[in-house]
Amino acid sequence: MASPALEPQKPVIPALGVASLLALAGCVFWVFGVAPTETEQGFVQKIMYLHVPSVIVSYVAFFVVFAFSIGYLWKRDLMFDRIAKASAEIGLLFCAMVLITGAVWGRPTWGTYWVWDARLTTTLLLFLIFVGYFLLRAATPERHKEARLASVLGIIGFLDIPIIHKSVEWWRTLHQPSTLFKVQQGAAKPAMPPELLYPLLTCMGAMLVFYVFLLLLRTKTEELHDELQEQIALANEG
Amino acid sequence: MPMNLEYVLASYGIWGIAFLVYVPWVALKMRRYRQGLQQLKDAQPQPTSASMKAQ
Repeated sequence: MASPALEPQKPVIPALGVASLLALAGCVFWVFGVAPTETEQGFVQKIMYLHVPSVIVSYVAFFVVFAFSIGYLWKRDLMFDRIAKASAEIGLLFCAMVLITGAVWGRPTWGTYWVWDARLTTTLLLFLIFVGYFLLRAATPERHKEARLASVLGIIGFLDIPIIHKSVEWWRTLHQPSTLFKVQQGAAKPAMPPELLYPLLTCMGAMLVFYVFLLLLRTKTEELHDELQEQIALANEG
Repeated sequence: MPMNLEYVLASYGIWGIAFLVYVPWVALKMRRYRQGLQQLKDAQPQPTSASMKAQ
């Protein structure tokens, strides 16, 4: 019987890859060809369409780590751990993009690439927690022990996100408050005009489709890796 | 030329390059694992008709 990992690939992953590529290309066209230039910051504000969706995707990715880590600890099924690991890697990459694009955006607007501001520092902490998450995995040879320890760290790491989100309210920071919505008289209202808000929301949607594509691709890779390790172990026993 | 164009280009450039490297790297890993599994499968002794009869 054919190994389940060697079964022909379903066309979902390539289709999502093409869809996300088209969506991201459409976003670039909208941002640079149609969306107006913001009057206060000027052209450099275009970084927002990359920075803010990357923030949202990293939050979603780490939430998936949180949820699937709980799932693993509950069910002890490695499929949960593979999804958590895949999402953590993608989340870490997006978090790095958040720190880099934020620093590049900060130079012309704040006059510096980096300040030890509450939002920036807690985001850097999140990045370092998930670097530690992969170091922990690499240092643990037994597969289920690796999954168990990584799940605990994945859950703890996610708890930094509410702190990052609230940091601009709890501490006096250089970073601007909520980009999308502001609360006025108890009701949430858009924090920017619709001609800037709609392309931003579209970029978020496109980047979330890209995240789903990456997650499926990376999870499938993890599945193949685990099966290969299992087969090698069986061949060595025989 | 728009002011601060270099910062916008740097941001979009770094983001684009990161994923232009990441996606093929994951796809390459996937192909290697598939090849490894296929090689292991091919190396396994195939059941002969005699062994099938014995079973």
